[in-house]
Amino acid sequence: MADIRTGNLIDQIGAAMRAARIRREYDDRLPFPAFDSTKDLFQHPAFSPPKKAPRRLYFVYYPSPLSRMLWRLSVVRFTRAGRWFALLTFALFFIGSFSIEIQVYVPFLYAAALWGVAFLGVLLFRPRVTLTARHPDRVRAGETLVCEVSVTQNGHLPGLDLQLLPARLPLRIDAVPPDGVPLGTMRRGETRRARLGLFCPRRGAYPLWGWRVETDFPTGLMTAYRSFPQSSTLFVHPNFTTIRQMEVPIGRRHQPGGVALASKIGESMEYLGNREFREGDNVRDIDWRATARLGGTPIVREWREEYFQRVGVVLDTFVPPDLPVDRKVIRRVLFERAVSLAAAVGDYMARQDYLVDIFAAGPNLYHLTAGRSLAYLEQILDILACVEESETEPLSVVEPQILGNLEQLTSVVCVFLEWDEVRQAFVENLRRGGAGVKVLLLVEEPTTVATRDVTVIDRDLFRSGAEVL
Amino acid sequence: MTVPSISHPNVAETREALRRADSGIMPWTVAAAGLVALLTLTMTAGWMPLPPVFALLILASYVSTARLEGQTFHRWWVRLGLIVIIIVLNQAQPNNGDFAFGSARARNILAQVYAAEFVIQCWRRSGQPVRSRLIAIVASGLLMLSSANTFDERFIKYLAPLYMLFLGMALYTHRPRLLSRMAVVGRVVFLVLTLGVGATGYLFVDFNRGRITELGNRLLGERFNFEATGMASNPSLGETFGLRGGTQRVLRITGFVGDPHLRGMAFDRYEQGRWYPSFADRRYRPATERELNPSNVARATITEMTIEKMGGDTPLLFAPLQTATLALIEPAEMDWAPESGGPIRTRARPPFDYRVGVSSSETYQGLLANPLKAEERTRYLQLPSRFDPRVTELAKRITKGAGTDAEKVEAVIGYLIGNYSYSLRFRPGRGEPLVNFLTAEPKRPAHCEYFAAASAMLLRCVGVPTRYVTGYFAHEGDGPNITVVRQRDAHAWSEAWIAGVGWVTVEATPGDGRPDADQSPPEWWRRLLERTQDGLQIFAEFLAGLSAEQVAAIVAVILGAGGIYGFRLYRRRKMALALASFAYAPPERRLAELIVRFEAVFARRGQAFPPSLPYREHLDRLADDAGTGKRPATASLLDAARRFVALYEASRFGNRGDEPTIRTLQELVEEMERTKTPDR
Repeated sequence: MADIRTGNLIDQIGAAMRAARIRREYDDRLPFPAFDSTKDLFQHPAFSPPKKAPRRLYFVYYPSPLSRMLWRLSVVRFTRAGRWFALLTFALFFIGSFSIEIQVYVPFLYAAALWGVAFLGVLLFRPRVTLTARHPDRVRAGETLVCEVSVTQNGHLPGLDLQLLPARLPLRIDAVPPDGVPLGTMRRGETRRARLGLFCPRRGAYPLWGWRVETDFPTGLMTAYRSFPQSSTLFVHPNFTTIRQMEVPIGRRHQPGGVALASKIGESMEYLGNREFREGDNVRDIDWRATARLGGTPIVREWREEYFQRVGVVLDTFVPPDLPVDRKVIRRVLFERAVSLAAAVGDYMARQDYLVDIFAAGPNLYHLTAGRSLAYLEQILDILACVEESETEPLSVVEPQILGNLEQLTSVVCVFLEWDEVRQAFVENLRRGGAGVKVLLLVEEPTTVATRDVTVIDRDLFRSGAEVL
Repeated sequence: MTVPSISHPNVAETREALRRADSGIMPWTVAAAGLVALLTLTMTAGWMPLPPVFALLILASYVSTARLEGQTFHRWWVRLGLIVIIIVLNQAQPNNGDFAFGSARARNILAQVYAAEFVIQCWRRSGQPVRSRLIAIVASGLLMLSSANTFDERFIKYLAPLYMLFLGMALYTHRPRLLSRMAVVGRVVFLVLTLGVGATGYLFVDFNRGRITELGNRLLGERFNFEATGMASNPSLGETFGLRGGTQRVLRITGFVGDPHLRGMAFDRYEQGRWYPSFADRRYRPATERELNPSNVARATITEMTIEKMGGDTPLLFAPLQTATLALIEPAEMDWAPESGGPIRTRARPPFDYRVGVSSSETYQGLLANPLKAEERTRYLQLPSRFDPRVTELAKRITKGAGTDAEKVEAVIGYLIGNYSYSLRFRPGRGEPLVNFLTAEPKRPAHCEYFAAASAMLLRCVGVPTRYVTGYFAHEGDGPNITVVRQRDAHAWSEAWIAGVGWVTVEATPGDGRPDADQSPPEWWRRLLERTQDGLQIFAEFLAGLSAEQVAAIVAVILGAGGIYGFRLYRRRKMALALASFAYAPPERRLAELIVRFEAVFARRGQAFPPSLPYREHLDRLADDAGTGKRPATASLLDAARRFVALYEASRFGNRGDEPTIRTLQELVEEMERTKTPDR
């Protein structure tokens, strides 16, 4: 009995150490921006209420106006130097308040004077500027979005030591440089253009709140600022390596289903050549000039209908909630890789003139047909930027949708996170429906799967860039 | 990740600032703040070997390019090493000085640890230079705090603003900026403002030291503010002189005579470092006028002085030992406890005046020197329980050879003054503080409470009845025949009963510790403020002396004058508004001349323009009259006049006062002037 307990304990310790190692390796927890004045602290999940929060704790969970004001006071109104100096001032006050015979009160008085002047600066030097900003709406994960901002000084007094910063950034996005861009001293009517970066390490659709111009003149302890709300949504597309070559199995169907859908400019017929008139040919196709030149038998123009290969891409988003912590962390990492891979497949298909149908469920069902002139790669990537992990089996939602469209699909590429009975049955159903199926299986460690048309992509292969699939 | 930059010429300067920040060189303002803090430590704590070394290391960091690199634990080893060195070197330093919290050694060690941290940050190459800089700033601030943890006020008032000047500049370096002359000038202006505000605050606190202490004591729930006003209810022998106060004026004496020791309270029992009875534990009874102003006093030997109680909430009346008579100028209730050394208290609130008659004889035994009764003698000779016999032996040794009580008193005074020096701070350590003071070798400096208590106890040991007295030492002249007593003049001494003489003052505090020796004269600005206060007080007293009718008359005059002034202001404003809203500006000079000439033409013809009619209407009437033949007016004249009026009005009210119009007007006037005036 004792041995069994010991064994359990050792297992548990081993599991805990493994989990800790994995967490260290794949730490992607949301950063807690304690004193980052460019971030919006209240977007952190710590401030979202649990499902059954007691009413009296709503103040804690919800960013009430008071908590927002206090946070702004400590982070936005006080500079970094101001916060440190506030601690020092408090220490001086604490010791100095015991008695005015102790000379600590003298430096405290000067420190208090500095605070008084800082407060005066806040009242006097609030920036009086106007601002316009331009930046792209889309960026790829891991890249820095460059924003062009134009600031014009309007006030009668010159704006001294102005600083431009993004305001209330999502927690995943970092300002570059982190303290903003110094604008310096601006006289009335003067305009300065600044370039400021937003580093976007993770995919997603992020709300951007706007901008802030601040000055900590004259003491460097407190800031006077003016905010410029300019709300927009920034799509951070998943980062992916371009696929150079991919074998897509072709199903038995080769249907012309895409023509009517493909273009808004009418029929898309390809000219093959001229030939003599045959019974049943459309009279409108007679080439009168050729007929006149040759004399006699009417000559008609021959057209060939353009066919499309329509490929479905199924993204597996299933991350079971009851997984152990270490496996769950790995599963999330695999999911992010799957999203990147799906983006790469979509990109490849779009370049090969395929029509692409993206199927993903998490938490909503996403289905988008793209390619040719129907939709662009951007729309595919927008969906992939927004898709999230699903705690329930997503194929139960995706399967009816894809089977309903299966008649139109030539092939289906499945990006899976595991290869269990559910997924095997799903693939079998697709094959029975006549579509060629290619399975891309994401795994952490190298694994061999004895099934045809399953391409295993482990950690090393993914990191080296899976260019040929 | 690339760092975007702003697109104007100063970007190069920003990059330069960033490069310098990464190079690991501490901004000079931060280093200067640290050096000032180190200087403060040296000035307040005396010579120590490490602060100069630290200062040199800070300066050397600007010469050398070598830096502490790498892992955090390397720096921790350096830190630990420096702390060990600091502790070892400070063991040899004396553990005394005027410090408020903790022992001198602990304070010095802590201060040097902060200084060491400052040096480490100067020599560190950090991936986060701003953070390193802020740590250095806080370390320098804590070093300044430790250095200012002292009662010694000679240096801090000069070094604190200097430190804050550099710190104010250093705090502005926490992020890269674009250089701008305007911003630099503005910062300098605001830094000067900061120092000005800080200095004003310092002067305010210094000037109102007594009031602030009093307020603090009130907040702490003191029954009476004895500590604030210089008198402790139960004086205790502590580390610091509890009676020391600020420069707030307490008493103003006109015609000061007699002993400068103005008594407040006397105490007879000493236990565990504290004197009893407390202020509240005495048996007070109402003091009648006959008791305080006895008729059997020889008036010829009495000189009267007037004492103005200026501030403080203490109900005590202060007077010298030789007081023969005492009376409030405005009668109020008074109590006293003659058996307890005669504290006299009153319910009158300052400011108020009282008159004290003082005998010219130094040994005069008056109101406050009741003859010693037999039962009182025991009380005044009482020694604390378990009193250290070494003190008795010491007293006997000191007074060896002294035959009379007076000789014993002289011997004790001579011993204390000759063997001890004065300090505001005395660390009694464990055990009975007075015994520690008298038996410590080498002899340690102390403040007046120790000398007063020591003289009292030593004399009791050799059979001389004594009591411990607190009060003020009057010494500061303030104009002819005026003496001012300030809070800082609070003092403690003892009184001894000498057979055949009576109670005499025993001043055993060394000369350099008496209030008249260790104080600098008040500054000119303080005197100016005091004069202003006096002026306001005189004015307030003048107002208080007015009758109700006089006050009503003054109020009526002020209200009447104010009403008249307000009414005139209102009218002027109303007229100004009316003019601004409706009136036209006066005509331009040339137009005014022309219209005068125009009116003169018709006036000469007996057809002057009436003030009630516009020009045009008058001209129309003239035309009608011409038609009927009433008055002769030629058509050409009228025509010229109409054209003149039209042009004049356009110029006057329609902004058409250009040069051709003026010329035309001139021509028209001249044409009209040439028209022959009809004969009457």
